[in-house]
Amino acid sequence: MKSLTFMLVDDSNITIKRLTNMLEEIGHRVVYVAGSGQHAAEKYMSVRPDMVTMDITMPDMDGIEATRRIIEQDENAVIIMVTSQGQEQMVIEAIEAGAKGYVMKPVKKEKLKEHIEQVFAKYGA
Amino acid sequence: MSSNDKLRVLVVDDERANITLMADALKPDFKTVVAKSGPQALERARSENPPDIILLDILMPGMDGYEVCRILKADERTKHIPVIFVSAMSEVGDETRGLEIGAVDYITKPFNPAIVRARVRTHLESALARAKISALLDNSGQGFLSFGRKLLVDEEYSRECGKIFGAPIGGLPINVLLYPAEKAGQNNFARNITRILSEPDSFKRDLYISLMPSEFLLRGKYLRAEYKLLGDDKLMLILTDITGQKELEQGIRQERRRLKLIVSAVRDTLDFFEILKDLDELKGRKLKDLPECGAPRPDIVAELYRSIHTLKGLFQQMDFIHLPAALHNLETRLSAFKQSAKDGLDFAALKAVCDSSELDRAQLKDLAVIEEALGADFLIQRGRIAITREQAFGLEALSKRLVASGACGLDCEDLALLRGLSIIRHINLKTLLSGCPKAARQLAERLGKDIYPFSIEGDDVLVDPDRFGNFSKAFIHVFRNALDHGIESPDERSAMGKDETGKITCTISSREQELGLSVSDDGRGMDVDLLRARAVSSNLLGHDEARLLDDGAVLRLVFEECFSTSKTVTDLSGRGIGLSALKAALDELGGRVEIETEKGKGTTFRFNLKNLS
Repeated sequence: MKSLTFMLVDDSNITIKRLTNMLEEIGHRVVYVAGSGQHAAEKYMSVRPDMVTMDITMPDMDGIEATRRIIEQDENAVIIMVTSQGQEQMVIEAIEAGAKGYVMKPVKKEKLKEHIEQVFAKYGA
Repeated sequence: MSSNDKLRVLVVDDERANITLMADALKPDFKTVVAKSGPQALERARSENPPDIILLDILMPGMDGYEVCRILKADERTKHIPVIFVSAMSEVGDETRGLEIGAVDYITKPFNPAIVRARVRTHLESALARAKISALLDNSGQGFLSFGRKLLVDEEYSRECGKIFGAPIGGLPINVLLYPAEKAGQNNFARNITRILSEPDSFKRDLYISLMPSEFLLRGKYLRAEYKLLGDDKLMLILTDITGQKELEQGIRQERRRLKLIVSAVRDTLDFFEILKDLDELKGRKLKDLPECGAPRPDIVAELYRSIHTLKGLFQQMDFIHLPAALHNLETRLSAFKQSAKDGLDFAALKAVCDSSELDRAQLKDLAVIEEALGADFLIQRGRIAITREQAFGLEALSKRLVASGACGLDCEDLALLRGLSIIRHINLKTLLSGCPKAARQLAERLGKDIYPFSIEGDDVLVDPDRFGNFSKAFIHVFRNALDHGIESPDERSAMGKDETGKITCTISSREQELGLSVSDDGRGMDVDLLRARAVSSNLLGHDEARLLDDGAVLRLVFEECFSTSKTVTDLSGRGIGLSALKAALDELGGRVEIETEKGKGTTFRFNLKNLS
């Protein structure tokens, strides 16, 4: 598939590094990293990535609220939640708020690749 | 269903002529049984040899066809028998009413015999198919049930559901059945079902379904749950009892932990009893006396806190099952107490904090594992058949006196024996520190870091374990510090062009009575400027003081209590008390420490001690 641009939203450096490595190995590009939901919502329109990966639990603004704010600005924003077991109910709410998919931690490269392809096939511009 | 070749049709009508007409129509394919009133029809339907299908006239004196049908459908014994209404009435209202109370079809008089036979056959076949499916579902050992937007369970559910829920569930709300005592769970489940059933986009609907709870714990049973959409407005839930599998998994996990503890006790017997002794000391002297010693000084509380923290790490290293958690709880309580007690100590609260009953329970449970596996003798003899401590001290003192007095008549062999006896309790420092490499590897794993296996290298030196006890116990903190703050994550290391796997070395050197101990890592090194800034921000030093302090002294600030460069407190590191515990032990031994560090290359801690044996 074609190379996509990504914005990562996460407050954990380790997760950001892991995701960046994986996405680059898959052939995509990380063009912006936001360390908080607030920051992501502010920067989204100027960055305009093909896809966003979004952590659920972050200190200032959680991933559900950040998703809501981004979707308010661009309802076609393609946001994938990055989540762990036990957060299923929050993911459901994020999807209701407009997130287009989710991957479970620990994220596996193959699974991530497959999910990006599925979501892009459905929502990609 | 009847086992006769011909299937049996019960024809219910109060008029003989109608019965004859119908019997003639059915004759080529079916066997006919007759009832001339409602009560008679019920009797036949409930008999030992019930009909396979019922053709029911509506207008009859006394009990009419609707009433008969209602009673048949409410009765467990007869509800499965398909009912077809037969009537001269042909208004839509009547037909609807008949179907609403459970009939499968409606035939109006006058009828065409061939069509009647075809309809009866069709309904018999589908009843047969339904019976087969429900027998299949009943025998599958799984709970099949379905519900719609109103969440009420449909009457047709498999037999296993009865076992799972312990009562009939038809018509009851599924969310309450799955979360009997949990309002939040009920509400979430109900809202999620609405989300699923009102979502027009199948991709999104599948996402929702994939996020639904996949396991429930109900009436002591673990259930695996699968969800399937039935059409657009119903969901099927398939429940499988996986309690056996779960218990097996838990059993295996528990067994593994027990084995690890037993292996640790056998392999590191000395350490095992040493830390149990420390625990007794903590429970006895420290915890009991503290609330009674009048106004406990903050430094005493801090010392207690450090020893709890160190002990927790040691029990973790030795693979104890319950004690680490109990100590962690104690540490957390004490930490909260320290926070709240800034303006004066509250003795009642401190007493509650220092309550050791949780520790006692945890200790009993862990020791029961050892006793069961190794026998009570192991615990009583403390793994040794040798002499008591007092005897050892006695022998030491005696042999020292004899050697010192230059006792007459002793030959070389005797002297060697006496010298040996004078250090009978002494053990190799490498042995004393042997738990560290393993603990460091476990810690690395937990922190997501990678290090090469290593062992304690260098000279063999015998030391007095009583003298070196505190130091050797706190020594693990050097490795914690290296792993937490020094060694980078594999990603970071490879990004910097370093070997992804980090390297830690620990070397002992001995010259005369000088004992050197160095620990090096090839991590990111320490940032002197950052330390300086932090010393100021945490009020450890004034601005000018920090500026004038030389780099070596700034580096040594990491040994100050509560000076942590880590922003988050984990149960492993970051409370900034580990290295200060080590420093306290080092001071006790009259030792010194120097730190060398190079940014991006690594850090070395060099300890210099006197070994007085």
